[in-house]
Amino acid sequence: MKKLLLLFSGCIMFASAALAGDRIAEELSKLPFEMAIIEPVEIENVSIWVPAVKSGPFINRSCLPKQGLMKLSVLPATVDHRKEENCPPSVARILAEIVSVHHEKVLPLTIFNGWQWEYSYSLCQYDETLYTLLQRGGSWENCHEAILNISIGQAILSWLEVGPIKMDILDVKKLKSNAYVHVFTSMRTRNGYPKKRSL
Amino acid sequence: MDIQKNEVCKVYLTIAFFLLVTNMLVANDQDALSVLKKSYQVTTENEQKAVIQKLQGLCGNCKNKELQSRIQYRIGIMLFKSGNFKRAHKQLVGIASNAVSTSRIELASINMIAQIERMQGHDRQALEYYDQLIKNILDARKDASGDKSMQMLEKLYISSVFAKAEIYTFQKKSIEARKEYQNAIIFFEKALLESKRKYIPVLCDHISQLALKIGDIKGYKEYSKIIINDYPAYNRLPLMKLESLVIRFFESKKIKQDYTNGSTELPVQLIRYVKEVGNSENLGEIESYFKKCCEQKNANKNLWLIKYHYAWFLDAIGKKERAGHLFDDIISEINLNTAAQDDGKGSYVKERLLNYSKLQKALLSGENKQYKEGLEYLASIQNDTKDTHVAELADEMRNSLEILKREVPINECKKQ
Repeated sequence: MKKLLLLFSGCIMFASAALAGDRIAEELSKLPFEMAIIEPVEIENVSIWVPAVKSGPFINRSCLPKQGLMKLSVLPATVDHRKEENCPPSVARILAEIVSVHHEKVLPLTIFNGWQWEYSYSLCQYDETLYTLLQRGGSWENCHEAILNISIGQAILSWLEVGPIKMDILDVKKLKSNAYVHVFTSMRTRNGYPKKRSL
Repeated sequence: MDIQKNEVCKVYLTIAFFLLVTNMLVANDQDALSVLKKSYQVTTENEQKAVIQKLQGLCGNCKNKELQSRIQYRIGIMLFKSGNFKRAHKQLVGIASNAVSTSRIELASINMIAQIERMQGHDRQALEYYDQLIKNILDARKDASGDKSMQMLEKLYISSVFAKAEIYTFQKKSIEARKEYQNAIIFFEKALLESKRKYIPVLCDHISQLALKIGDIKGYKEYSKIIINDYPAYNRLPLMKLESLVIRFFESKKIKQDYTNGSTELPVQLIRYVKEVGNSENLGEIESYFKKCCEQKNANKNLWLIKYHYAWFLDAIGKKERAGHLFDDIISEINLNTAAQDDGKGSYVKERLLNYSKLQKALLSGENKQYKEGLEYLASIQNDTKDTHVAELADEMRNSLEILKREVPINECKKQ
């Protein structure tokens, strides 16, 4: 009798332990696990010719010519780099690093706040032209064109909810950082300019 | 009789004791499981800290090994989310090297460690962990059952390959980056058809760009040819064809070009050449490709970009009237297709093409003494506070056209 009771209680113990284990395994199989991945950085680089600067026509109405006048034309580079609030700063920094490779010859990578490519209204292309205006209606007009190099980049940290049994993706949450870069190169005077008129 | 009663009591006591112990053990696991579940709902930093502490306390006494490794992994994830990379790293390294962890948890942990190393800027360590991760993915791929699990592994694989290649690119190691993409092509040749179509052209494009950057024109041609021949739906295909023609032109002329920024600059380099040297006989093939692209009706961003290059090409060779018509076409087509290509990148490029087409058209109109028309184009440019260049240039041109409109006709009358 005593042995039977002991055996019975032993069975109950093992069964309850096994049942509890099964229950835990079942619960765990319903509980997805999360994984973070940095998606491949998406960059689109586009280079196009654009009209860059239009100067004048400047007209001299006086009876004396004006000499040694100077026109300075400046094409600044711009960087617009942002991140969503929850996007980790390091993901945004990685984006800045990757995008900057395309512009390294003309635009330095200047990081502040640990991630942000500084909004740099930095000089990229400029041209100094000296001109003369003749007396009584002397006119001078100039036009520059340049290559505009645009980079549009996006880095995404994706939080994947992965099914623990089938390893299938149940849900994805994306945290993004974006960068828009404008850089001018190859600035030149448009064919046919500067135009000198007598108005 | 009393002795028998005593014996039975002892048995019951023993049973009760064992049941109590069993319950205590199971109860700990149950508590741990409920805290683990709760951890998915926490939102605030304080809640997170409290849950991490609780999980750490319960984890050590867990009897269920799977539960234990899941809790350890969860602690690592929560530390990562709270920005505590060092502690998260330590926690996850412990799981990855723990023999008890399941292969899935091990895979997930190695992935997280690689991401942490990369995010901390530890490139050498990140590369090592990505290597380990890729090895584990290749092993897991052999046992993977079902498309969904395969998709997950492919996603993990592509992010690892790109991460490695991006690190190498930033380190100016183009050859190493190229090798990563080449290995990925081998991986995807055995992949699901959908993945093959999605990833192989992108990988070939990256390889061809890297090849060009290091001056390997043969390599560039080899991989761009794969896309041109086998992936007609690839979105950059029309541009790639143009870029290939430009390379061929420069080769035929034996002109040395700077390819360090890849192929996207080739059309503007061609236009610069034409601006400086003038028209050339060998340009016929490129011009007929331009014309062919302009005839296509299903306009999209890349076709507008080609048209825009063509308009500048015509402008450069002195055919300004035709260039003006093309700019007009681009303006009206983009205005008609406002919904097309409205993903962030597409619409950004589209807006620039539209604005600069209007500016150039206004300039051409001014040069052709059509001042009113020019001013109308300028008036149609929408103010974008972000794009200061467009706004400033539009102002400069407006002033210029106003002066010309006021002054030049008087001058012409005087002449008459």
